[in-house]
Amino acid sequence: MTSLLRLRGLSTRRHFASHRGQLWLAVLGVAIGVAAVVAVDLARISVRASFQASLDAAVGGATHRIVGGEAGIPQSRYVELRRKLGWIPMAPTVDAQVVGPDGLPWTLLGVDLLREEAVARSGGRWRGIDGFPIDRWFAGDDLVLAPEGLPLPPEPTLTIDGRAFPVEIAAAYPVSGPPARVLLADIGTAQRWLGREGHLDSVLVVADELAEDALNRTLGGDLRLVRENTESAGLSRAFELNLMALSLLTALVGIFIVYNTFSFLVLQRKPVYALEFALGASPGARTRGVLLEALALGVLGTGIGIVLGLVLGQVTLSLVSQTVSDLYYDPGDAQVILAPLTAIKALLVGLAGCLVAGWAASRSVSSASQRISQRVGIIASLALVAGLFLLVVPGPLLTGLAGVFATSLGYALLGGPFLALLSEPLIRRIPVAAFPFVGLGARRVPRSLDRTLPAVAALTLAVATVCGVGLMIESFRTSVSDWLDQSLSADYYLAADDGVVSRADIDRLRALPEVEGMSRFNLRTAYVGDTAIDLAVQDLTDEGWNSYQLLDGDSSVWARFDREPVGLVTESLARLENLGLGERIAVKIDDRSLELTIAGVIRDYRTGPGRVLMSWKQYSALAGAPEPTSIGLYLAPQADGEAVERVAATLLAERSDYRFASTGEIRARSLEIFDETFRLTRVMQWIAAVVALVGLTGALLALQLERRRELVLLEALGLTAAEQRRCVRIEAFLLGGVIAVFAMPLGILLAWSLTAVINPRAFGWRLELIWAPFPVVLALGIAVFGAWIAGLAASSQVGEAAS
Amino acid sequence: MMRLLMALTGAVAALLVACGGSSGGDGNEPIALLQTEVDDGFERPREVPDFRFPRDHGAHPGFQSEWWYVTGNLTGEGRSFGYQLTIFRFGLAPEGPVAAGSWATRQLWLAQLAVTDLGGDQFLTAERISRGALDLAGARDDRLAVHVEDFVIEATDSGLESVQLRALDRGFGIDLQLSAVKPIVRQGNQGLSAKGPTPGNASYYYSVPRWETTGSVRVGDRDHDVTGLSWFDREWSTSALEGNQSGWDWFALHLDDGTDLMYYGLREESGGFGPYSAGVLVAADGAVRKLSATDLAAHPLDWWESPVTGRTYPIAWRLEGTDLALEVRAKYAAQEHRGRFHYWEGAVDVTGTRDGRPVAGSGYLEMTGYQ
Repeated sequence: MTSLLRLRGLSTRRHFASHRGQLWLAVLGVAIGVAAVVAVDLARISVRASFQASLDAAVGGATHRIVGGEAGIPQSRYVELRRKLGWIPMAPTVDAQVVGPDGLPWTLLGVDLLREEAVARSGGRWRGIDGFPIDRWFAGDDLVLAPEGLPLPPEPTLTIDGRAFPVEIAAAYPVSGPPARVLLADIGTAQRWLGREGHLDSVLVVADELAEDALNRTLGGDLRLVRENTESAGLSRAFELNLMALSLLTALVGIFIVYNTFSFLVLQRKPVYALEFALGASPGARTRGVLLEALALGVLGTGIGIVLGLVLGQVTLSLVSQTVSDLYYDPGDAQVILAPLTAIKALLVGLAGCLVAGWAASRSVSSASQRISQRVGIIASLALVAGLFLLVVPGPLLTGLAGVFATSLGYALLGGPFLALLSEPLIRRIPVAAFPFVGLGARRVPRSLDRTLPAVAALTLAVATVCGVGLMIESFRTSVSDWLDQSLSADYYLAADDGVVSRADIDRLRALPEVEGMSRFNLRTAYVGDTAIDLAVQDLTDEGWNSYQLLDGDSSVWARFDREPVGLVTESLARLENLGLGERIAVKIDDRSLELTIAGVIRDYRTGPGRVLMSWKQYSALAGAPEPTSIGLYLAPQADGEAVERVAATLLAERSDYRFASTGEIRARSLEIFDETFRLTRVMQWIAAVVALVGLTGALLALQLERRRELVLLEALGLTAAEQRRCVRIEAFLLGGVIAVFAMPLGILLAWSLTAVINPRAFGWRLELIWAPFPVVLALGIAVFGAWIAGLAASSQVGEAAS
Repeated sequence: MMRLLMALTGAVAALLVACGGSSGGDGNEPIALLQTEVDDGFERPREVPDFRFPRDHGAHPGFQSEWWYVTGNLTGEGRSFGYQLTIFRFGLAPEGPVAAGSWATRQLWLAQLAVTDLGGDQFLTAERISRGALDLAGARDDRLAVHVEDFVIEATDSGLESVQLRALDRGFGIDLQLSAVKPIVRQGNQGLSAKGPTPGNASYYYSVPRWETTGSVRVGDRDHDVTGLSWFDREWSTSALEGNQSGWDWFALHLDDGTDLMYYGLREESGGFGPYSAGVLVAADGAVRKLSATDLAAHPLDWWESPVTGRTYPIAWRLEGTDLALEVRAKYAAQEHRGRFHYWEGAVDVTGTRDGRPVAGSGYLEMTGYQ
């Protein structure tokens, strides 16, 4: 047995020495699969850590938040609370986005250091530091605490509302994860910089039931206790699930490749195994031998894969960070963190995947292969049915994602045998005599499909992903673009960030002959139950009515809008709070509660819990006339906007909190953000496609080896090596084509699942599936072109295989 | 008396701000705070004071620190309690201009509440810390009225005859009315209490030795009606201890013959109480007798080791003077504060003789600087 082992070792070394290309292809297959898993996982974990860090910096251990009316919380109310309920841990806060000395956005948190330990925010974990100018801090000097690990000059300048504030860094506060871009200042100092003396933005609270009861009894007026953070946690979960699904999909493609690689290696050495068998080696010994090789290859491939994944992780991380900062919060400088769990996953995909694949490949040499493919067929069918069921039956996001996963897996695995069955009659009609090479190549296709099941499945998945995700993005973009076109009915918008648009400024704009109409908006935070929502009070022009797309309800709503206490709710809010037409909701604002009947559900693609829209007239009747926080300006036909822009420029110079933009600018910026958001998704599509193509190349190489005898026969019939190579290329090309066509229904199903199932469950909005040609053509192109390249690589082996 | 005599420099104040509650790591040793450098801008007690009341019941921001300190023993409804409510003020820097805005201040305030529930075998503590701004914490000048958030010591008029204490934390607290039985006692030399040979190393110090106390103590969700006796100390200073002093032991005892005894021993590193240890014996009729370091000897009798901090404290003492022999014993061993500062302060029982006649009583004992 020892001599057999030595013989095997010798044969393995010789084999790989003479087939270096194959060895590297095998290692590359494993490495790419591992790298993709590592990269996505790294990005996910790093973003999660930085999300936690941001949360830690902003909220700490707070469970609730006390919020006030439009102007925040009068600080005298906070003092009353402390003098009455001093036992409840709470921390007053003002916060604002400022521009740091690095030109990047920073969060400025105004805190009372004495109260920070109560809510355990990361800045509050700051400890006494020698030389910390505590007297100057409390005396209101211009000092800040900066997070450790983010280098800043000792006396940086902050830009707040366009004004520059030179400050001094008093000390660094320690952070446990990646530092978030959060600066701490004393609350009084921050109020002074922000011009918000006398008011707090919120008071963070750590409250159990007892404290909650005590606070609810004491608050009153326009102060409310709301649960902290449920919204962002929900969004973060949804986002994380999306990334996890992508990571699993990549892992799956990776495992297919590993299997494929081993099928190839085992097949290639079939004669050696036969020889060993003749020399007395058992099939078990062969399996052990293959497993040893699998382990060695796995170690090598996984090692390279982890390194590659770390590099790739930087790229994916920057893309994910971009998405996160555009959609949810500013993650600061997220860092790549190699978590133990990621390493375990990588080992699982690389090593365990190699061992299982090696074992399966070794078994497939024997007569058991038929049984294996039967079993795969049964499992795949079950997965497909279960997946479709999960997609169709209403449920949470997780089951939706499981549905997508199971459907894709089942469909992709069924591909090989199913396509073989379908394509055979078609291919038989190709007249071999007229097109000898095409015919010859084509006739191989059905059998190839059956024999290269993992590669077919990987390519099917990748092509379907490119098509499905592409369609989803196109649909999403079109929906958002249409929505923007419709929502932005005015020509210009002027908004006040910290207050209201003054009457004088409105009059100045209105007096311009170019301005034909004006709509007023009052946007503020209100509550439906415990959920914070935006209440949009609107005074629309006739044109403005068309700016809402009713998803539920009919156009009679506009007639009722000004006359009755009705509200329109956004789709996401309707879903979140389970609201329907005709239902009554209590919208709590300041110390009032407005009873509204839901008269319609409108389309809205903003993130967050949603908004309630009600008429200016009705609001005035119920709660007194509101002040406009923003206005929309409608120009007369053919009027030039220059005069409006000139006046706006003077207003902006006077009020730093004003923002003014044309509809075109808002639209362009919104779509820019949208495109940024999907950059990672697009990159992931390409990674999956590349991984799948490496797999396909391996599979085609394996096929050539399997066909040695056939090749010898063809050679005897007079086919030159060049002609045989042509056959292989044609075969590969057709194989790619067939897979591409087969992958299309799955792609469309994926697109449907993402638009109709995943998006509504994750974000509360439904998208219309739009048939865009580009993703379909791209997916087809990738499959056919990729298969052709794979065919080129495989055909180069023909001479070698035949020799 | 001197109690937590905390002369705070910036670094020490920073510790106070940042290290709170049980999360504050090892906690601070009060004695370490006393041996740090002090900003020269603060006033120091050098002259015999001319106390003016009610003004001097209020804050003295020219000095670095001061406190209002009430301790007492209470019984009612078959249950006994000890309690301590203390309010400290710390000046971060001598008074001077601060930035515009209502939060800016140079004063930090700390309040500590402790209830020893003898029936329930528990020692409950809570703290409040706040800045001296916005009415979150502060003291009035026209009468005794001092608060840190919802912990309050407040007289109903300009005197100290009728005072209220209110401090309610989660699950425990006090709501007490105090009536003075004896007048104010000026400690040391007419209220100037020297702590060492260095001039200015002293405090201004007066006490109300006996306040009859009624009201309620809450433990859990139950309020217990109680009565008992309390001791009040008022002290302000900028002083630091001498380098060779390692801690102090302070006794405030109410005896059942109407006598009240206060004595503090300043322990020296060489062992034993130093020459600046002092006290006062207040007879039932209010007559005051000063006690110097040589008038009273104190010997530890029994020790208790804290299972949490590992520190060992003498929780039973024998006090001996010419006409006095008392045994002081903790009513409950585990009365160790583990918040911002680690020290032992708690209710004690007293037995012994005074002028040859047996006496009993109760009081409070504070011990710092033990390892």
